Amino acid sequence: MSEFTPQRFRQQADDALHDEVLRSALRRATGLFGDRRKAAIAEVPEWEALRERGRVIKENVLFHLDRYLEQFESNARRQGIQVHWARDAKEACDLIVDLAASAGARTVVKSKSMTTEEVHLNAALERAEIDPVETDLGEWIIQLAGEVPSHIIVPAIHKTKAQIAELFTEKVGLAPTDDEKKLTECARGILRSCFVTADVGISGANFCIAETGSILLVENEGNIRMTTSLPRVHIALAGIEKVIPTIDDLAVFLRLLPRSGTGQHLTTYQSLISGPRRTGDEEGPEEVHIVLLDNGRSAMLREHVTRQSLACIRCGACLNACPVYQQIGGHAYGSVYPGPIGAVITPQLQGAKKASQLPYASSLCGACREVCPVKIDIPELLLHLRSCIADKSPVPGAPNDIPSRPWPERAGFRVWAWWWSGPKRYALSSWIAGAVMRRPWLRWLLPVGGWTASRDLRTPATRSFRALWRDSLAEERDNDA
Amino acid sequence: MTREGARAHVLGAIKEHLAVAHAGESPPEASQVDSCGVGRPVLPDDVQGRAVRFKSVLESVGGYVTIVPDRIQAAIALQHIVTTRGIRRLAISDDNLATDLAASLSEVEIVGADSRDALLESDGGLSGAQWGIAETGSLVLSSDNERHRLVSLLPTVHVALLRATRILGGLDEALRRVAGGDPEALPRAVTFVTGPSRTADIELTLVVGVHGPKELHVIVLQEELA
Repeated sequence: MSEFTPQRFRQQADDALHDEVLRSALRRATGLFGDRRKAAIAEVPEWEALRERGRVIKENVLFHLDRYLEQFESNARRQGIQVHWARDAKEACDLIVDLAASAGARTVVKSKSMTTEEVHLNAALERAEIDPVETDLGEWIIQLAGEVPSHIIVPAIHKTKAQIAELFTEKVGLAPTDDEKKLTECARGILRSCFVTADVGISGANFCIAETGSILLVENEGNIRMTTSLPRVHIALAGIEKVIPTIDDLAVFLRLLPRSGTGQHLTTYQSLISGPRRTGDEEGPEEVHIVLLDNGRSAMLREHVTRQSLACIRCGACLNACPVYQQIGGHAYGSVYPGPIGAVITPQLQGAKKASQLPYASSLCGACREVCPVKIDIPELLLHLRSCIADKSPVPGAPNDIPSRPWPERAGFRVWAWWWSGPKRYALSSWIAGAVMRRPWLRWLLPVGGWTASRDLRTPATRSFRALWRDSLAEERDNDA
Repeated sequence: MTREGARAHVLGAIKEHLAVAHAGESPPEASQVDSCGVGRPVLPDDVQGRAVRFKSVLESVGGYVTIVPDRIQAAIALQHIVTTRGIRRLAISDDNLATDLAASLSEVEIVGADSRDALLESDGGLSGAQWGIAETGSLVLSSDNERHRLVSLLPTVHVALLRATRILGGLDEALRRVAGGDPEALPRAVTFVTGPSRTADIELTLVVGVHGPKELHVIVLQEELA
């Protein structure tokens, strides 16, 4: 569907930086979501305690994930939900295609799910001649355009109203309009008929509750309710990290997620689903299936630092807060998961070689950690992954496929490390640097023209900090004496 | 690999990696805090106060709430909604109160909620609601009590009848009430509704009524029923 890949990050980021339409859309969206989030959390006096609670719940559940998954599975089965497991993307796709095919499906309706994007489910369905229809308005727009999402919460954030109107005229024959109400009404009409005729509905799951065997889905549009209520068969795809222990814990996450994602105190709809229709029921699907997906997640459990990647509840707050995402948007990352959380998840899911540039797509400013509703230390993870890449040590969950840095670079860093490990050598190099930098004309000799052409380096003080420190220690000794 | 093989493989991988973690780390501190009340705002503890809070929160996200003292006033409020919104065909759930009130309406066709086609052609849907939530201005619809999964979703306007005494305080209380003391026997579908269906997917401009109802009306009944 798209040529975006993490390997081409630099080129894609550069393209994005030259796309004025995209950048103005990003400025608006990230600014608006940031402001709304601030206003929404201001009404919760215990916001920090709530985040801490969210972090603790996730930390506990991930440390005993096998137990909670088994509990979830047995409770879900008891309620009549069919539970399946998939080791990787291919297995998940095969399973879901089989389920859809045995339900006789020609068309499936889908509600927005990052996990189905991760496994490239639509392509697999199409290969089996089953037509997947995305029903979230933003997802439907990008499906019509043959593109991929660029934001976790607002998939079509990169498209203007004029572009969408043109697309609707071309693909579904809507008369040209500049009214978003008319565009929405057009989508409503077309998608209604899909909901009614589809045999299978496919969704993700925001939370799987172990003590009840239920799944919970949050949304604003109502397409998830349609997808999970109208077709005869409902299939939900969930990463193994989506399980939480109790229904009380759900209250914590329902207070955290919408405020962090869209700045709402609660999204319009939550669907708590605990099974198919039972005898005497006249509503709801006859079959409910849940597919639990590993696809590289289990290996992240091994170490504390990587395990926290699995605490993510996919709110998108770190995207909106990130100064890098704000400039380049989601496509540049070349991954289903963009932004700071994408920069740490993608190398672990796809391999460090494929995504070796992503952990560097950050200034380590820490804005992502500040806004994360479950307090994931994303900068720590970015540094950890950078060090794995530099040391060529394996990234958990990913093949050990990192190429060595070129030998002159390695040799250079070794010499540098040796040189600066002695105080005399360090002092000598800072004296030289000071001497050079106090003579502005000498700067032009340095091979950093692109940097110095538009910036003035600060002129260093005539005496270094180390010299001043030495003097002050000497002075103190004199005073004591 | 067989399906059962996939299960064993995934669980086996999880156990193997966690074994390394368990050997090298002390288990995370089990929390002393009860999940329930964290982040719950200060809420009124009387019925009237909760109804007022419910109304103001739901109206802040575009819902319409009418608080009425009794059944007669509820019928008048319902007729007013039907007339002003130009509802010609109203689908009703199997809730007793909804059935009673619908019987008193004039100039509107009443249809049952059992036919999907009838629902798709209805411009109004009338249901009860099992609980309300003062904290979030939400309705809680439980499939064990009423057949309202589609009547609250497909028609253009959804009207819900809610007893003031059923308005709970916090989201956490509502979830506990849903679990009903037996978390292993939840109703198969519980839906929380807070306002009309909405989207901001086109240039972040809010549009209501994308897939679900374009309007949500709640009639809150203060009358205590025997």
